[in-house]
Amino acid sequence: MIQASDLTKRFGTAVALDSLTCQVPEGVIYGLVGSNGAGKSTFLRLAAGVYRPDGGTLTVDGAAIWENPAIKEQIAFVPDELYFLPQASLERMSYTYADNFPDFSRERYTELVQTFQLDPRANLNTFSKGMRRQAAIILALSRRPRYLLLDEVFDGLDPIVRTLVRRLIYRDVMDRGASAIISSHSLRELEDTCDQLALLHKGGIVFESDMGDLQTSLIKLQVAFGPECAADFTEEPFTTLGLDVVDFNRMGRVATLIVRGTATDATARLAALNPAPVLVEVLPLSLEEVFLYEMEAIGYRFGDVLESPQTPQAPQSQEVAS
Amino acid sequence: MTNPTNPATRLFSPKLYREALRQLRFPALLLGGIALILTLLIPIVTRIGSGPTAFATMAVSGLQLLSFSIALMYLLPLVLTWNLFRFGNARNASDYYHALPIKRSALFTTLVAAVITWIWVTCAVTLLAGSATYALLGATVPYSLLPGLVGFLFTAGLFATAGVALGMAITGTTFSNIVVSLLVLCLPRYVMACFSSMVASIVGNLPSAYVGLFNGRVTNTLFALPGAVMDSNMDRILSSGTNMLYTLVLAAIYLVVGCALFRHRRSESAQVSAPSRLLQHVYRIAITLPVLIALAMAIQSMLTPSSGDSSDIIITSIVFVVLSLIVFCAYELITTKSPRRLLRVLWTYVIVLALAGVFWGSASLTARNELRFTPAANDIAGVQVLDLSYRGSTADLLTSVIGYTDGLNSLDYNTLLLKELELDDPEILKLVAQHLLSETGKDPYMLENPTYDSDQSGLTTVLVRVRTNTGETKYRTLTIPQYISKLDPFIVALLQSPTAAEAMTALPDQGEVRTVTTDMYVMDAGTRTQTKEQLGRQLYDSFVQEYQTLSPEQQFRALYTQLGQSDESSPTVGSLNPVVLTVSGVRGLNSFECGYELGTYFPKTVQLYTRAQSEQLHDLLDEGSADAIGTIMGIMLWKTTDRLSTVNNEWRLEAATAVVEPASPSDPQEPGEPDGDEVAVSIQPTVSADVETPDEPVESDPQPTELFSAVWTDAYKTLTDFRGVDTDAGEPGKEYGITIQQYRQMLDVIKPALGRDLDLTLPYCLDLTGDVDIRSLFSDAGIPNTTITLTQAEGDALLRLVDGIAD
Repeated sequence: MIQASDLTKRFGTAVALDSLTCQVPEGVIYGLVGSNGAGKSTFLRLAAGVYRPDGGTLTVDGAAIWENPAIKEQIAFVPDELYFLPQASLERMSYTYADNFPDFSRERYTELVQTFQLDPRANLNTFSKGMRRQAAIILALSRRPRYLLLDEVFDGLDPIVRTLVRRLIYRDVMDRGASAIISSHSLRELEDTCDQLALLHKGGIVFESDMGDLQTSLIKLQVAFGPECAADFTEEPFTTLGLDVVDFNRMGRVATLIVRGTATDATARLAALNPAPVLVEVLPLSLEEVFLYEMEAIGYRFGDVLESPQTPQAPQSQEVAS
Repeated sequence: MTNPTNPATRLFSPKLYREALRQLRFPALLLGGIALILTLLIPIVTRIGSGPTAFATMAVSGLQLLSFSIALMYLLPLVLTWNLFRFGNARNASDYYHALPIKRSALFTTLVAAVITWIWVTCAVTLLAGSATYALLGATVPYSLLPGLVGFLFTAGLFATAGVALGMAITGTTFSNIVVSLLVLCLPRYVMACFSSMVASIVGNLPSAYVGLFNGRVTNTLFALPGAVMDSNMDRILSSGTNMLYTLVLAAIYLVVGCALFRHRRSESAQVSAPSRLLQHVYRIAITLPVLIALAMAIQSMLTPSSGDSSDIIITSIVFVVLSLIVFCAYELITTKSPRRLLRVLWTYVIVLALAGVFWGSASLTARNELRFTPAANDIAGVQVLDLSYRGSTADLLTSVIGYTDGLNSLDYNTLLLKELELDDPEILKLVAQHLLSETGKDPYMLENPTYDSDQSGLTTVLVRVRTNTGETKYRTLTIPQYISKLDPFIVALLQSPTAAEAMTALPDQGEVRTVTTDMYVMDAGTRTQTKEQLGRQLYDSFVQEYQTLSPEQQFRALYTQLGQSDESSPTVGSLNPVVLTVSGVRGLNSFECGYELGTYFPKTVQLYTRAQSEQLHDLLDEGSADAIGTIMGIMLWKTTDRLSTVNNEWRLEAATAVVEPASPSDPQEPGEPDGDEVAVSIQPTVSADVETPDEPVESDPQPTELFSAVWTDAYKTLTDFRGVDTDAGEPGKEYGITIQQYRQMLDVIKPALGRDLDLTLPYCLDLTGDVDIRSLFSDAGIPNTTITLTQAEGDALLRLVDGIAD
């Protein structure tokens, strides 16, 4: 298990990770989402032993990762910016990996090269961005590592390869009990892939939860009214009931609300509406919605760049973390 | 799986080492291959150019053996270290290397080991292949030099690699890599050299090599090469064990520091010139400091009486300060690309000024302390004469940088004996005290360039170690005039000391002598019948025999020709290009090297030498060597000037005569000879004196060496006139000159007549120094019997030329 406790990393005066605490259990796929500069890549580099923590601890089974070759042997890291030796082919890189990583399996490598249908003798410089990422994934998976750290791993991959990569990760996790930490801005990708998820912002975790049961304080309600209700109602009746409305959208006599609180409490309060709604339904929140509204709640707001009907209105003051 | 508890894995990773070797394969093999090819070509080309005999008798020098492996030694550490360690300049590469399951210390040492391996292998292969080529082609290879040369290459390569690796461990861009690596390699020696040079310049009689801990007596092998090239003891300097040991220690320190800094280097500092603001300040200050240290030295030199106008101090200061500010700002702007940041750090320039001030203050304080050392004679317990002819400059900066290394320049035999003695003769102590009192604090320039009186021929610097009654020991130089008609009182005092006199006039025992060599005129080689070493031994035997017949004073004059050689009673061979026997050997744990000039006291040895010289020329003539032909051409030209006929004794040679007569129809024609208008030119030297056979002893030779003096003097004049004269008319006012144009005309005449495609190029003419036995040359080479058939036009041209020269 990877365990971070009060993990802190600074770059000069900037704090990239600020007392971050989380844990990645065995055999799970752990998703990292967050705003730009939230500290996702920094966390992965710390977990790969590239960076040295400025504070707190980051351990695998209780042993620090930094300057610990025995632990680092169990970790395969695919960074966002890939590195290959100058003028190297995939085959050449496989020998480099074989020399540097004792767990490298040539059998597995051969199998993966065939699966991805890459030319192992071609110069990697001639590969497209997606092909280079496939090459990096092949090399990492050939090691059969206990921990896979994948930074923006789906970036540049076409849908078919993305699915293939996902399946390969699933197989490693299910067959060998490996763990994977995946950072991505593709929320849908993580939603479909991860068992657990952590939302990072400004170096800290906003929330950490199982994907099957997103433990967020937000609920999504759909409320439909009969013809007796005016068609131009606003959110005012809902706020009057004491609901903490984060977002309100109306189409005809059907309103969709994002409310902070519990479903039981909200539905109980809606029962007091007059005219009474003909339908009150609690809808599942998508990961993207959780991300958007949780981030908005902590001051990370977007403008009109998202065209989703559920996108919040642009606030007067826009604050974007650098 | 790597075991973290295993110390080996903390320091070295065999698999990464193999991988790193693989990564360096291309640049190492490319550069190594180029160097190897060039190294192999040099002996082959030399062999073709010089002919088999000359090549076979050639003694290959250490520098020739090193050849292009030197280029590898300087180039590969930079190229290969940068190649492996540049991952620190890019984030993706940095991620990759730092994610490897290996300790950082192991990463550093493993990569350094890979670089060193390639450097050592390529340098060793180049060196050994070059040596083998020389040997295969028949040259005499000094195999005893090889271990020293290998050590030189290995230590210098290791030191350079350590310096660059250290520099790269604490920087994150290519520019800062280069700058900081150069600072790491050069700045300490630069500062030490400037410090000792400055102190020595203030004290005057304190050699810079003996300024406290900062001295140039030992240098790292990387810097020893330029000094070695400029010194006659090059091979010894290159293979100096002291230098190698010092370099190894320095390299080890650099590697340990580099490894420690690499361990603590923040991975995120890739693409950043310095891993922290503090280090950025340090780099900026370090690169600016040398300019202000140079300013301090310039000002100090202007404050001495010999510098003349001191009003230039302000201008010089402004120039250096502006220059230092340019360096300061340029570094910051190049590395950060932020003018705003430059303004924020501008205040650190004050630190540079302060450090330069500290440097100057420290040097001044040290000098002030040294200036106090002027003990009275009765305060001196003893004096050791370390070198009677100290060649190290007292305050020369270059000397300090490259390490003049009087400890490395092997001492001559007599100095070796003399330095073992601590002299306490009252007269010697008195004179030493007088010298210290009068010369301490004097401007070194004034000491080295005094006003001569008519009886003075120059100065000699004597290096002494003075021990006082209080136990204080200091090294100082004494400036001793060379008088024409007498010896300096200090030398006299030494000769009057029985122990000192004995030490000063002894010759090395045959058992102590390892090699005897001499510089032959045409090339540094032996003859067909004798190797260079055999010839040297023979000459030394003769030298010793003649030396033993001399009086003690004559012996002294013979050994120390620079200390009053030119009084009328002892005519010398000539000061222009004296023949020198170089005798080297070992006494106890010390090696020595002496140069004995074959002066007027050694006529038999001189005769042996000139005979060997002629034999060597004869060998070369037989091969049609361009060198020999060029030499003979030159001699012909001298003789047409008829200068040698002025030497009126039985050794006198008269001018060669060029007899030109129309080709007679009745003359037998050789097959293939040209028809038509031809003249036969016989070039024939006439020797007026009886020609003694080489085996006969020289008898009743009134002043045999005057001949050589005259020859050399004349040749020197001719050579002087050749230099820089490249006009048809020649240089006006030169009595003995011959223009290059005339020389070429001469070649145009002779070359077709010989029917050979000779490579007679101008340098052969300019190389002429004339220290040859012309009589032996012409007689042995069979020149009198040589008949060259020329066309009428060629004959006319030659006649015009000869007439013109004679006129």
